[in-house]
Amino acid sequence: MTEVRRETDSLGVVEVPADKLWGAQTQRSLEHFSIGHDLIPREMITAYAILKKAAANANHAGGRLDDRAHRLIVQACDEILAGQHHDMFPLHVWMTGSGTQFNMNVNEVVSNRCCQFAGTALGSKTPVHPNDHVNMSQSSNDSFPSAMYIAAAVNAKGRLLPAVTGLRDAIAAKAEQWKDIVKIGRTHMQDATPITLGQEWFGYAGMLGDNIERIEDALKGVYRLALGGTAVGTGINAAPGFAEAVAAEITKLTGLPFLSAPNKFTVKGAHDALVQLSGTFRTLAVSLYKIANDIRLMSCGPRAGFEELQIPENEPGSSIMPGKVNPTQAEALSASDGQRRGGRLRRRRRLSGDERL
Amino acid sequence: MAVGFGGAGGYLEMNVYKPLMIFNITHSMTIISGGCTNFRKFLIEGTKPNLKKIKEYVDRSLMLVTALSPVIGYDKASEIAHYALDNDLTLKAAALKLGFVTEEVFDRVVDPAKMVRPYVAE
Repeated sequence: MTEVRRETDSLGVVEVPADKLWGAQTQRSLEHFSIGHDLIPREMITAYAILKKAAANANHAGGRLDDRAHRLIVQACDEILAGQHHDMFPLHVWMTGSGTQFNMNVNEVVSNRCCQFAGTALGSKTPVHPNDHVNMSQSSNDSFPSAMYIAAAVNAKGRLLPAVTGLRDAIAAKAEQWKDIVKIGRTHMQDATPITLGQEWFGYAGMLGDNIERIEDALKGVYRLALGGTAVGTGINAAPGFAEAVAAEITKLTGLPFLSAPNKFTVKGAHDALVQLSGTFRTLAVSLYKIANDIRLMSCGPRAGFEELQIPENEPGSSIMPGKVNPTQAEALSASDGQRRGGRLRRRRRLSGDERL
Repeated sequence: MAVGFGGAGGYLEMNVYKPLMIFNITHSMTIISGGCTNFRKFLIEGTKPNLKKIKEYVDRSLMLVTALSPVIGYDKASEIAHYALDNDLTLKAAALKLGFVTEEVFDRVVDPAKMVRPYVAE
């Protein structure tokens, strides 16, 4: 029998496993929304910790949050940012569409961690209250979208763009190395006029360069934060100046040019910036698929194919055919592109332009 | 797909597919980032050209005839290509057999290295 403690919310008492830092609302969500295995992305934990720390800084600077509560909230957020307590965020993707329960999960964990710092009882909401302090000047309806935008931008800049740039640069280096190798061009998969191998690969590098530009452009919309608009965009219960101050704090913490959205109603009722960003991922996936396919064709062989490229021998390719090497990296990349683009799009053959066509 | 569906799900003052949207966006970034990095490390960086095969294809190519079009016209150039294919000849042998160009003109015009940049033979 798991030991439990009593946590409360506006609907009453809920029993929570004693060793967990979350509170009543997280526990209710766990019970009502345990659908599938997909948890709220871990990137959202970090994004929310940045957001809560930034909000605490802005509220403290505005004289609304006392020194002690501010110090404790920042300390708890810093622990989360250092990678601690991530197992205290157990909620599933398939929950309330607003993400409210995840926001409350963050509020409850920060509040309870502050209780531990202060030596008070878990669930006592003292000295730091989940709603009054951790959620001060915020609504789930402006914090969740803002955390999504932070997660999207931080990971696009910190992970996706470096990976795409690295691939672009590696392809460009090969293009430079192979700039004088004249080979046959192909259109409609039939022989065409000559081209250099370098020109062909220079084309691939250019495709990736264009994709990098598209993602950077789309991020401009993602930098506009909804924070300060609170529940419906009007800013009720957020102090004047909070929106700008919290955006400035988030910029300071992430090094990315976030700003307070000039139109809070736009970024609350819709998340078109994320749809656009996602669209750039789809375009990138289409490009990668084409590049992977071309390399598969050119490396087809080694004795009965195009045989123009020799690919690395990374692993044995067959359990029965000795000595076989396969373009598995191209397969894995194109499969992940297919996953990215969705099953229905996969059947649109026009998306895959083989070789020169 | 899913993000578009999610984005379309905003009613009045709030969108109600936010977890769906961020789940798919972060998942996409994770698999595309990993895909690009592995593809670079384990495929692109170690790929080498097979120079022998590449040269063989260029030498046997019939579409090199394209460079002759500005000199002898599309129709005659086309005839050379078809004749070479039908009779299993090189382009040069077919061109000389049909008598449309001299060997000197053929060698000067049909140069694959010239054909990879803007070039109109005279």
